[in-house]
Amino acid sequence: MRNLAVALLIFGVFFFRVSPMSPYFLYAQDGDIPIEIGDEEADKSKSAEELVREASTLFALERPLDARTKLLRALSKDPDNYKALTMLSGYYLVHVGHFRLALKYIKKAKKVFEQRFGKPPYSSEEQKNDHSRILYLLSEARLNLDDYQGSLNVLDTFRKYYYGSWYPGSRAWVLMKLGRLNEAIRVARLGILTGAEPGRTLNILGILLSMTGKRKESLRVFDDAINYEMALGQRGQPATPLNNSGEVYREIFDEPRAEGAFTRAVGMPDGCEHILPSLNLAILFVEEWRLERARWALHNFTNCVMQYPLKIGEEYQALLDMEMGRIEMHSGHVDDAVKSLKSSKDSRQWFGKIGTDPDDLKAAIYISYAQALRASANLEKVYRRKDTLFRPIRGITQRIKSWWYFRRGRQILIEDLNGFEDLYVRHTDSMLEYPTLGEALRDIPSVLLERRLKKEMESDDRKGALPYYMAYLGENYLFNGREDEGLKLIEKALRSLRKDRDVALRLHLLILRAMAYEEGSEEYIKSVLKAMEIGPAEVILYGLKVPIEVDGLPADLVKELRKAAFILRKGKDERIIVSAVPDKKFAYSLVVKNKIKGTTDNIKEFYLKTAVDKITEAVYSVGYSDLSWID
Amino acid sequence: MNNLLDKESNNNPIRWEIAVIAARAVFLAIFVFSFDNIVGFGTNPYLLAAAGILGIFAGRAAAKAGILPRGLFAVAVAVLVACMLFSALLYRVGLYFITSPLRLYAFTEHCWLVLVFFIFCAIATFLYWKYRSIATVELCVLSGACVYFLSPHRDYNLAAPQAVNSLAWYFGVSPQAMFVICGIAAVAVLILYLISSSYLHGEMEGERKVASTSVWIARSAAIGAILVLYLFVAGVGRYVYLGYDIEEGRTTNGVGQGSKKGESPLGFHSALGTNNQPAALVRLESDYPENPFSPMLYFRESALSSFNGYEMVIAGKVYDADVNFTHPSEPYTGAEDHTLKGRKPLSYSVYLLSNQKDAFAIDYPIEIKQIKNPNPKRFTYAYKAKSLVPSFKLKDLQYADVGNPRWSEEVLEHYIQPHPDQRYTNLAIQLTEDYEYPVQKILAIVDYFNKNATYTLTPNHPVSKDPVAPFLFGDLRGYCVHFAHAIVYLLRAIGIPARIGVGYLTDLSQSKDGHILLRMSDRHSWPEVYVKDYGWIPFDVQPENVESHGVTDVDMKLLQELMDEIGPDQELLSDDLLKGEKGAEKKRWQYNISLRTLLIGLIVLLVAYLSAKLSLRYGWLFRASPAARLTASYRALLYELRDLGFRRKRGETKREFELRLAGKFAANPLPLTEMVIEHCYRKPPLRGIDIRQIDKLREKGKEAINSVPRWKRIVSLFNPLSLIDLFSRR
Repeated sequence: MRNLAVALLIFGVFFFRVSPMSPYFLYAQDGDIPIEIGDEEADKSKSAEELVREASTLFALERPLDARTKLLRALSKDPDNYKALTMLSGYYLVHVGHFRLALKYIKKAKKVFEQRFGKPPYSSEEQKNDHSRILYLLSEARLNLDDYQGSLNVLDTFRKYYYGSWYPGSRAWVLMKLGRLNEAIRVARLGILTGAEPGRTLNILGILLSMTGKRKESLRVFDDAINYEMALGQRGQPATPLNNSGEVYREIFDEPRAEGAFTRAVGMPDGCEHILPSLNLAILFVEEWRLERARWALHNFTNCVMQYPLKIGEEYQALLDMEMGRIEMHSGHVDDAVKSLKSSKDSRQWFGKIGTDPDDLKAAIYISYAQALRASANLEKVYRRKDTLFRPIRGITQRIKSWWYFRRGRQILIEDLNGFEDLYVRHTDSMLEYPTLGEALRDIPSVLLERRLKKEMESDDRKGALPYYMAYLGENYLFNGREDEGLKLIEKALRSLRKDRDVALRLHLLILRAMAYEEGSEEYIKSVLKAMEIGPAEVILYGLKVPIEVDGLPADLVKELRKAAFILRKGKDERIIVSAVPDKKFAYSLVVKNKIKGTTDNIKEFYLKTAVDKITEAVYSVGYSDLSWID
Repeated sequence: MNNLLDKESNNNPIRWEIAVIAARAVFLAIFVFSFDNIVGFGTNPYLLAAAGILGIFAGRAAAKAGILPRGLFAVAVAVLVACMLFSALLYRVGLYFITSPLRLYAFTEHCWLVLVFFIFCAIATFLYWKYRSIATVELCVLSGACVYFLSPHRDYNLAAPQAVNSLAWYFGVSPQAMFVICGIAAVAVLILYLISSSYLHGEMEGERKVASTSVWIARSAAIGAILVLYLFVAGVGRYVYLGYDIEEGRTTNGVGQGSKKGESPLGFHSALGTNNQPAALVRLESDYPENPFSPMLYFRESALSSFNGYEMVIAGKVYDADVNFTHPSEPYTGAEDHTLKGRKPLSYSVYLLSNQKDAFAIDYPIEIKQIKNPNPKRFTYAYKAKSLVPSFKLKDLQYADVGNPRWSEEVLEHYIQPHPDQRYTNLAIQLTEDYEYPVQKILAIVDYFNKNATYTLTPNHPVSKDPVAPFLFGDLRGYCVHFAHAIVYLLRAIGIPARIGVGYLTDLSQSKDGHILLRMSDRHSWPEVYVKDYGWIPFDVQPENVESHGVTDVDMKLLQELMDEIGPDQELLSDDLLKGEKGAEKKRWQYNISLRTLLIGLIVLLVAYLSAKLSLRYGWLFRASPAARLTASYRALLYELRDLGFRRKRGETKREFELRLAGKFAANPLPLTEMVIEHCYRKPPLRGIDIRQIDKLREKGKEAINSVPRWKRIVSLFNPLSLIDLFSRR
């Protein structure tokens, strides 16, 4: 029976494709299935070596806490047991994501190992294996702590004495992180020729090729990687190459293929080991203004990642909060958006395993946070119920903060990211929200932005990117005293948009066009109504007003509505009509007919200002998180 | 306007000046580095601090030189406009030289921020010296900033602000204590600043001579009033803090602490609101995937099974023998009940962060023993426990019977003792009449609350003989104490043995690496039923309607810090292991001064220096009164001569100096000497000075100075001697 269990265990380990460098099963031997796992008394009579072997088995049985306890018990018996130290390092690296602690353990393991066996090279096979494993974990820990040079140094040491099939992939990745792309490509290609882990190495090569602009070649390489991983069946990890190919498709504006790739990636067994496929899918959906689908993509990830309860969230939380905050903002839930983005801003994110830069994320978060604060300030301005002493102060504070974060975001993009390399629309490393990026570029002097965009447009051969660049420049002109030129560019950009794909950019441009015209003018109303059809919340969040018609409303309500976010017009056959309904129980009993959304909302209220706010919510689909009062 | 510096020659306020300048510089530095730490300026904070400090000196010098406020504002506006024009020009010209145009923009952004710091500090300092009321305004702003900075602590979020938390960790005191220390330190510094300002202004105004006793009394009274106010605020704070302490019985959600027989730790009117104060850290030593309540975990501290006519109270070990009722330092060994089905042993360690009277444990504790406290400054007690925890599936209970067949009649009576009010029985029967099996009946009752009741921390029921009745037969608004009591009464009314469990309820989904942070808001009471063969099992309510809830997300930063605290000790894993590890270093507070920073600094210094020099030479432009214009014009000539190397010797009179210089220049460079002497020493001072005459004489002096070669005069602009003289002037 016990032998059968061990056989099953080994099969399971192989089946679930634990990396050959995984510290979890290396010390397991026949007869190591512990009967009373958590029994401390029984463990007292066991040696440290026995406990380490039991821990190996427990890891393979997916009982990491039991394994951790065993290892700590082993260390209490023998503090210099380098095998226990190595395994604990692996545990904190893989299961918990506590990289600092993982580094501590592995450095201690290395120290103990070298004290016992001296410096390399070693003659015994066991020592060689153990040492190479220590080096592997050390390089991984440093990589996860964003110490790329340190990781490369360890890989250099590894190369002196050993070879591992994982090595070319890891080296290429670290070199990529250090910006040595050509060298990285060479290493990856050589790795493939020498039979290194094909899936991983092909994947890295694909990324490198896409980074150097060889997109078609990179897609071919990704296809190879996907096919290889798929061929491995349950053992395969196809989500990563699928996600990467999706990123390339998105970059070349082939959204259907990108969506297909991301959706497939998310559906794979390893689909939520990393947030990137879900995040990319959500970003794609937001660009197409399919906000509910975007929300679904992120919820899907959150539900899926629950299966890894030991992870401490530093691998995904900041990214998750950022995108969720954006979705909340576009959906009109500004409070939730600010909260989410603030949390994202304050979270820590490790980047060792993600092909992006911490500054990419920081800039993206700052800009989105600034947009959320601007949206909140605009909403604050028109909300009547919150008419307190502090409302103006809050509004001003939010605007100052918004300005500040825009400024910081811009600064990072320009100074820390190779002179704003993320301006290249849909840059695969970037986390920016491209349709609304123009807002962050408004304060750059036109003469400078013009020059920079010209350079970008000259080098960018993608047709789909052109409207974005025009939109950025147009927006910049609009806010720097060159309204006519700005408007022309915006019109031009609007004409060149694709119907179902660039919806978010279309909405943003419509809002900009409305801003360019005088409030209440025909052109203004045309733009605002078109924008309302796509995203009603965005209209109010940018401080615009929509025309409505009122029918039989009391004078005080009409007066208050004028102060809120509405333009009141008579006899224009408006698409939003607010009419009074007789009801003695309530002071304000109203019906809001919204022909744009095709909805009818009933509002019954005692208080004037609350009634106005309810109308605002009904028309614009906005709300503070604590309010859900529409009948 | 009361220009305080006009009378400075009568006094010697230099020591207060130094104190005030130093205090301002320190405040500025604290602001710059704190703000940079929290938000990040993007510009080197050393540079900003230096620009600000320079601004402080410049403002002081401007005030001392007697420049009018409107003059200073005009200069500031002029500088800003000039910089804007310069930026625009730079953008146009720079495009021909720089390949990355946006970098040019980023560079000017830095310069702008540095300049704004300089100008802001200069104007603030200038105004401080000009107007006494500015000190009060500044104090208000500083106090507000302190309150804002320390306010995140209000929610018992110990990791906020992080700086206070880090200090607390560093010194090994509780975060609350450090919070109070920071508050006291802030008040002390502000008082000192107030005293310094008050003395400085007082001395400049000659108050010491005029009314030294009354000023002393007023100051002492003010300081006394501040201290009384502070003690009052601290007292109120302490009272509020104690109000949240579990020992006092008034807690977040009405679940206090107590193990005395016949007493209840629960309160029907004592829920105080959100409180994230950490209570304990629990570390699971084993995996627990079989948890039927997943992701929830119940830690029982005591059980309430006696009904005293008013509420449920503790019956003690006689009846509830499965509950430990022991102090965290006491060992405990529970009798293992081998007849119980669906249970497995689970080991875990508990590190208490609060004054917990009783050790708590999951379900059936079979062993509790104290272990070494890893950090007595941080944790009050630490113990290891082993419990028999549920591993059955909830559906297994569906047809199970309730009660323990081994109980005596008396014990059974004890657990089913009903509430005398018939309404409970009527409602219980009404809710359960469609169900046959006891567990189905229990679930029907629980479901009734899930669907109809509202969880709120402010039920605001009137005080009555039966505190549950207004909840159950009223608006169904309440918190766990109300729910637990109502369910137990209803269950007992239909003969199901039930009691209330008290302790902590935690959400395992917020645990990391098997570590769970229990907060005060996790304190909870829940109904429990004895199911035959399975033992006591919680049947808790999860109302669909939640109006207010004391639970917020676990502070993961704090959890991780505490995890590290109980992690392997220094002997096993010393911090030295991370020495030289680039990735593991804390990146904050590390700034490198780059070439760009140096360049910006140099430009700012140059601008500031030249501005100061020009203000010395052309300060007379801003003097409206003839007397001030005369002095400023004379000084302008003196400063220019000083920079050219001509200085009045010690003991040399103004007239002698004039004569000496007249011999060295083609014409007299100080033709204003006579007029200045007349104005300064004559009593009463000379009246009716003609401004045109002053300007004419100054022009004459200037012409004489202009006889010096032009290159010498340009070089003299960079000679700092006149500025040094200005600061060393008494």
